[in-house]
Amino acid sequence: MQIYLPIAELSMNIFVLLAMGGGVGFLSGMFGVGGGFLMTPLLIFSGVPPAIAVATEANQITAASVSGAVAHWRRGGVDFKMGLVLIAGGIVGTYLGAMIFTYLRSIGQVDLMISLAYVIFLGSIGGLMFVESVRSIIRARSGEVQKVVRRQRTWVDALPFKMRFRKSKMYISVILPLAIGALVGILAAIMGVGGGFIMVPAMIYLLHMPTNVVIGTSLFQITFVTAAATYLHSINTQTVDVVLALILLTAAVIGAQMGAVVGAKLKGEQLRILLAGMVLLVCAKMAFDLVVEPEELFSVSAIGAEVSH
Amino acid sequence: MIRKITAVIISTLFASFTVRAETLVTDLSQSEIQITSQFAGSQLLLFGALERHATESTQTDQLAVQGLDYDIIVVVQSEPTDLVIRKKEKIGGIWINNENETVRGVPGYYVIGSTRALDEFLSPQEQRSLGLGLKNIKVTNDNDMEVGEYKDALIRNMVSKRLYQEDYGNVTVKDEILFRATLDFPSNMPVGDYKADVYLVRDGEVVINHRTDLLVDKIGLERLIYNFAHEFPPLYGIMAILVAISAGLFSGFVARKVT
Repeated sequence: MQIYLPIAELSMNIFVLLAMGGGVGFLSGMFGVGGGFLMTPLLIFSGVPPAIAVATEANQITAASVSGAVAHWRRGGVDFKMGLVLIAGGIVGTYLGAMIFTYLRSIGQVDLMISLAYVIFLGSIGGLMFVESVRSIIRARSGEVQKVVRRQRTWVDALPFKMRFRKSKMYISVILPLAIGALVGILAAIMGVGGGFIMVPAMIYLLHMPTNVVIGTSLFQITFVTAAATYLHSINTQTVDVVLALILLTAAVIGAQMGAVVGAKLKGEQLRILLAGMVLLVCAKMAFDLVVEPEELFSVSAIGAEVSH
Repeated sequence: MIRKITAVIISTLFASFTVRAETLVTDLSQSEIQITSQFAGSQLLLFGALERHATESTQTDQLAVQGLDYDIIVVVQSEPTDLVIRKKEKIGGIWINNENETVRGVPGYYVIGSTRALDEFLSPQEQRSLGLGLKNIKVTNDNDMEVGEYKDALIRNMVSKRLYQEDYGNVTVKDEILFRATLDFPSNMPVGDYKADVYLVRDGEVVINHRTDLLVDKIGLERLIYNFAHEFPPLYGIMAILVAISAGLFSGFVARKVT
């Protein structure tokens, strides 16, 4: 059964869309990640114009993260003060990201930017994750016990404008959380991702936040930042397709529930290595499409709009 | 041979006497194509009849004998629009959109069909002056210059999206007066006002030209969403956020109940 997407202005098979949403939902439930970095490339590979894929995914991630944020908030897993600082940075980043996005779209380079951003981020994150999980598997096999290193004073502690975060029991400069928030905001606007894959490691390794508030606080920030990205894309480029977002979202919620059940049965290292493998696969496909000579060198688009494939 | 010559003579006589008395009646099976949520492309029937008021002529009987003495060309196209054609080049190892050309006033949809190959009954000059056939679509830039390889690229792109089609031989004629053609519209067709032109060609000349209008529009929820997004972007953005948040909360609630 075909469904016509009013903003993308093309008709797609609804079962294919549901399968994509469900599949990515399953993986995100299994790995405990947002799934935007898988969904956006998948939409692009299946013929949705990249700009529409990115903006629509931002909208879908708002839906995907809000219920998680509420669940964590009920368990007391959200540091609201830190969340607000991250959001403040995030909104500035989203604004910048949306401006870059709109400008590049008008000169026909938005597709290139999306692909490059994916290749760079997925390549480095996937690579790091892969190396890390292989190492910990080797370590586990050899029976070596990881030494607990006491946190040392670093350049982070030397930054000015310190603020106290009671929930996280921290007294740190707001500059770093603002910068992390801004980076995540830029990524949300130009890649259609929540940015959890950057923010969670940054909160743990750079900010040294207690792990029990990391996920909840990052979901809290992602909800607001992707909402801001949705709003800005709606205003600047009219590329948010609510119908597409709703279809994907419905399937993703169901998939995520099933994925979580399966994920609970697998070991952490195995999960991480699987996830790293998938991230690298998507990255490789994106890179391949950039390097290999396209069959058709010319593309046609309406003035100011993205290239349709 | 003699018969052919007589046919030509008769048709010339016929033409000279009764051209004005002939009328071409055409219509489309629908005057509007509505894009709904289930829209997956459409087919339309263009049909018509050549009405011969033969009372003015005594040659009517021979006409039936002489066989088909005319050809039909149908052209359906959307409103002219401006498009950007971009060319990818390899820069630093990756393929990047580099040069581009903006073309003005080209159709976003163009389909031509006829009773048989155009060259068999219409001179290339005539085809060019009437803008018939993909190669005769005027593709020029701001300076009114032809754009060479960009024109070929545009046609190639549009043909592969089935937005441009050449289907010579798709017009069938019955009893020498009724003709019909099936037109194919893909789901990615642009919205707007279309025009369907029917040309009646006899002896290498267009004798009658008749135009029918066609409207392609989104209706129902599709139209509502599209118009809302383009006319009230801030409100649309807020609505998209609210829809996402309520859908997210609702599905989270359901998921908790189920598991």
